[in-house]
Amino acid sequence: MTGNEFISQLRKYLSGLPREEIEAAVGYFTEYFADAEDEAAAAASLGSPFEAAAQIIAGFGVQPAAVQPTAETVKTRGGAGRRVWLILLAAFASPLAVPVAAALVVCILAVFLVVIAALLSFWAAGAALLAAGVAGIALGIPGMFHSFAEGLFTLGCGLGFLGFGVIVCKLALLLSRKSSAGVVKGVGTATYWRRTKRRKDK
Amino acid sequence: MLFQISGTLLDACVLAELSRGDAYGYALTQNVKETLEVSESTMYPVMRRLQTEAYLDVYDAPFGGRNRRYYSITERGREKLLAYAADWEEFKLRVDKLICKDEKKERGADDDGQ
Repeated sequence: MTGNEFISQLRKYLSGLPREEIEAAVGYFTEYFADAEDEAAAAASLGSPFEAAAQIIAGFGVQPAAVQPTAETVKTRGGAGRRVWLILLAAFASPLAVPVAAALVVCILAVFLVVIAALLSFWAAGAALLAAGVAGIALGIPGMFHSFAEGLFTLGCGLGFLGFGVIVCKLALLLSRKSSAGVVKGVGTATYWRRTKRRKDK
Repeated sequence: MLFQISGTLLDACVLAELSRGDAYGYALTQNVKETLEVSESTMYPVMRRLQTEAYLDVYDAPFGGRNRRYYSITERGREKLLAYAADWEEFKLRVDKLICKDEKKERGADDDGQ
């Protein structure tokens, strides 16, 4: 294996780490091969790029929090999140995981779409009822001049629909608020992990 | 060798090697390999970690038309090395006590049992 082959495979296995880390590793090994007299021998004694990448990822995962002169103990703040991230990283290293991950993303999107569809149908129903209510009132009042009873009935129906429509709209509003709060919470937790990881890298 | 060097012990060895003078990645790896049986690909994560923990500094120096990255030990790194060295002495004594226990008993050691 040449140095370039080693490095390009290493780069592939390291994908998922922050760019800064990948470039640091690539830079190190580029120089390493440049300094070695026999590139092929150096690559051979380095072993497999996959294992080298695994060691780099593992070393990165248990890295203590960013430089703090007072901290002597290894901090595992967000340790559980970091471990989950590592597992995901290792999973992404395997060629099988990408379609699995894609399927996961599609499932999550599908859930979102279902929620949105449900909300939209509520709003549509509410709007339709309101429209019917307004129509009933608009037709009922002039209708009373032709046939009092019919006009009054239409007006009454219109008012009924209007009231019902208001109730459904209020329900739709309540559900919208609750589900958007849920979504914000979910997205917030996911990005919090990412943010704490990013902050630790700086 | 039946025992492996890894983790903090390897950190200590790298720091010790660099306390004797700055070195670039390849040379440092070869020097350490002369004494210890380490896998060469283990060296990079160790050095990267020591660097992010500010025990090591890096700087580039020109060499034959390109730049060569050198690692140097920091003040913080020297303090850590002292701590490692002290701990290693203690560690050596304790392991000796256990592994060489019978030997010591035969020689009639006076610090018996703790």
